[in-house]
Amino acid sequence: MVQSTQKDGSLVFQFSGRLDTMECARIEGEVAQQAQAAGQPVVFDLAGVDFVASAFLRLCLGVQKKALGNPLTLVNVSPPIKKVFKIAGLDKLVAR
Amino acid sequence: MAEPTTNADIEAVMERANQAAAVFTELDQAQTDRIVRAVLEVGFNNRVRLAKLAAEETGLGKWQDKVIKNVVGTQFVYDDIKNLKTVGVISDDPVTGIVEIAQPMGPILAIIPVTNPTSTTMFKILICLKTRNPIIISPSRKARHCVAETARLCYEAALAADAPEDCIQWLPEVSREQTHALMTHKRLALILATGGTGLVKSAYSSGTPTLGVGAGNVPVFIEASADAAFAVEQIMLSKLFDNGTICASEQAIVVERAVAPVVEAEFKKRGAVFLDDAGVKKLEAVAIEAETGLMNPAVVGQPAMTIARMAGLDVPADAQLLMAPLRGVGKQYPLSSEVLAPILAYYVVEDFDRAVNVCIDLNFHGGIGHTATIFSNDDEKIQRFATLMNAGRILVNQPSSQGAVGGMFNMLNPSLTLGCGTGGKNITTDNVSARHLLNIQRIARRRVNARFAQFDSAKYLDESLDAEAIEKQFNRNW
Repeated sequence: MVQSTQKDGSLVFQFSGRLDTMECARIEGEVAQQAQAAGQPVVFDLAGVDFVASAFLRLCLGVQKKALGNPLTLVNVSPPIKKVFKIAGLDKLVAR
Repeated sequence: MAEPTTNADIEAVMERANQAAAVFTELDQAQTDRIVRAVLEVGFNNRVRLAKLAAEETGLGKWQDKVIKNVVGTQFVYDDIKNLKTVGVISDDPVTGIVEIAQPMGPILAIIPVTNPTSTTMFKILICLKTRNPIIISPSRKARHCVAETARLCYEAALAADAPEDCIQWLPEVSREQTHALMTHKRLALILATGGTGLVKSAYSSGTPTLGVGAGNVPVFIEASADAAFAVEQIMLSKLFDNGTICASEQAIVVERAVAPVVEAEFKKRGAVFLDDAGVKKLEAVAIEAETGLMNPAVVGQPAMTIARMAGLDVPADAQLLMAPLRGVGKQYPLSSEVLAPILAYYVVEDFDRAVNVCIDLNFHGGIGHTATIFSNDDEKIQRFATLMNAGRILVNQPSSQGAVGGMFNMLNPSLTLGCGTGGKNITTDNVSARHLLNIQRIARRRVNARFAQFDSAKYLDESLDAEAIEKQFNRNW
């Protein structure tokens, strides 16, 4: 189960391990639903994430869409994951 | 002796080049090498005069550093290619039955940039002659006289060594139309395009095979295990070289906080000035053109004090380098882009991962495929850094400008045309050299694959046999 908490006016999701296709399919609905209902900025904390499948990139895009104008930001992104977002052209989501 | 060429003469230029290409095919390796040696000697012996000509005509950089560039373009390049087989049979493997034969490509158009005019001219002449390809030189308008003089000297020396007539031609007057006509000419074999992005793109768009270069935006990571004082010394040596005109020169320094105080003290000790936010704003206004986001040509190759005066910066009279502390990378931080001048972006970050992330941002902000540098004594971190960069050259503990061109601080092929791979819209990440200017023919003698010979090919028609079953039978070894 993905953990979510409130922090500094944002809904923060804590991810870890491998975010492969199966795992993303398992958590996608819940994450998207919470993000949509929150009506506030959403943060994905990727500390400890060592793999993301393309399903996670889609999940990010889906959440960004459902967050209805509230920003989605990725924090604690390791360099290999940062490179994935860079090459995919989604690095604007990654916090500087 | 080739006469200066006018716009109307493109057909004549190509006709002469084509005839030179034909005659070149008659030369053997020894004759070819004698020509190359003659050109090396005249180029090297004129290294100082040509450097001064280049500095005077272009107004860029320092003549003393242009001498070193001329040395790279002659002595270092020659040393690298002199023993290369470039004529006839270059390898014969009795086991595989493959014989490789080197053939020249044909007339090559060499685009010469304003930043390294005489050195690039000599480098390209040497690698073209070594491969028996006639060269047609098209210089930057701002460097046409020094390039013409360089080409003339080399051509006279080549002729004296029995090179084919018109093996070197140059265009004293260059227009866009001329360049376009040459690039698209049906008899042109290859373009060696060293220059700005627009020019390289038009070369690639011409339909003629092209070896080009990409833009750089070189990040330099001073990792926590680095010898910080040594790193700064090397960076200064490189960034001040010819006032920063080499495209592989450092553009941004990324430092882990643990070593930042030492790094900053070392920079200051060597004449670097750290600007405050107001200073950064003033500097970016003159160094980067607001409309394009690209470097302002007026600052390229200028000393730090000249640029400081242009920007209205109050800096000590002996300032060597302008350091711009930045908080991010991208269009909103103009100085995070490439500037070929003594200006460096500067970032202090908490740890290794954050530092690498900033380097990834810099690398992808206009410098994909070019060069990245790390100062570190931790092999594991060097490897991690290298795999995360998209760069043809990952330089370790060395000055970036001199390191990337090869031969002085590492064993990369000495070159003044640095391939940047597909990220930089190039076909290679190599330091381009003579070996790229050959068509290699392969004689393939009959050597029947024993596994194929013993395998019943009719089995491929049996759909019940899957890949594993076929492999088992194909690889059977009684």
